[in-house]
Amino acid sequence: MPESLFEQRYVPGYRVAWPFSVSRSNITRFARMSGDFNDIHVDAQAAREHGFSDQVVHGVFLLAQVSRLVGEMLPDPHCVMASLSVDFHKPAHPDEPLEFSADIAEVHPAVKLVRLNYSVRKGAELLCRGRVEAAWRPGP
Amino acid sequence: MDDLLNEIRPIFEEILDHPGIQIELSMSAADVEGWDSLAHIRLILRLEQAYGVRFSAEEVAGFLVVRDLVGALHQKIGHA
Repeated sequence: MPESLFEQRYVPGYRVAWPFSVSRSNITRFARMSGDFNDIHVDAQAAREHGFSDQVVHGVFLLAQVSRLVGEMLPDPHCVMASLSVDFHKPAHPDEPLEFSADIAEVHPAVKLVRLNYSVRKGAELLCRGRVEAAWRPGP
Repeated sequence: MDDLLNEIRPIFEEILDHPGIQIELSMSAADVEGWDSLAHIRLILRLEQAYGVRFSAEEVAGFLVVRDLVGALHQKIGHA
């Protein structure tokens, strides 16, 4: 049987990566939006008193790149996020150059689902990594 | 097949987040609250993982009622 469109487009080993950073103004906006005004996020002096070098970027900023991955960076725009896991290793700080990368680890043609491993790094330093499942939902 | 359905009932309960959920062989996904397309994917993958089997796209497309799913699993694992 010929491969389906899904199997043609989604193959193990597919990899994407891009740079990004998080601005102080977006941290402030997110604090307002989420209600998380913990001073390690919004006050550089307080963050230093807690042993950090600067304000700590809310962890979900790193996960926001997973949304970009599933919505924009897969082989077609037909996937929705089905599950997401993450382990945080090191903090990110405002305006640092970060890199997001992801690769397709598993393809399940029967249910049209892919599992991707992703990570966020600052240079060689791992900040977080995890796994996301994306379900393929092409329109009618 | 009833034995196998009873065996996998905890998987339905887990995936659909509904302890004690009523699942019968004649039911379709539409008959069961919470059994949407993502829950269906999770159910298939969880059964594959639990029993070390893989379903084909054709098999999954043919799962119209619980009996179809349990029957296919039954066939793959040779359940008594």
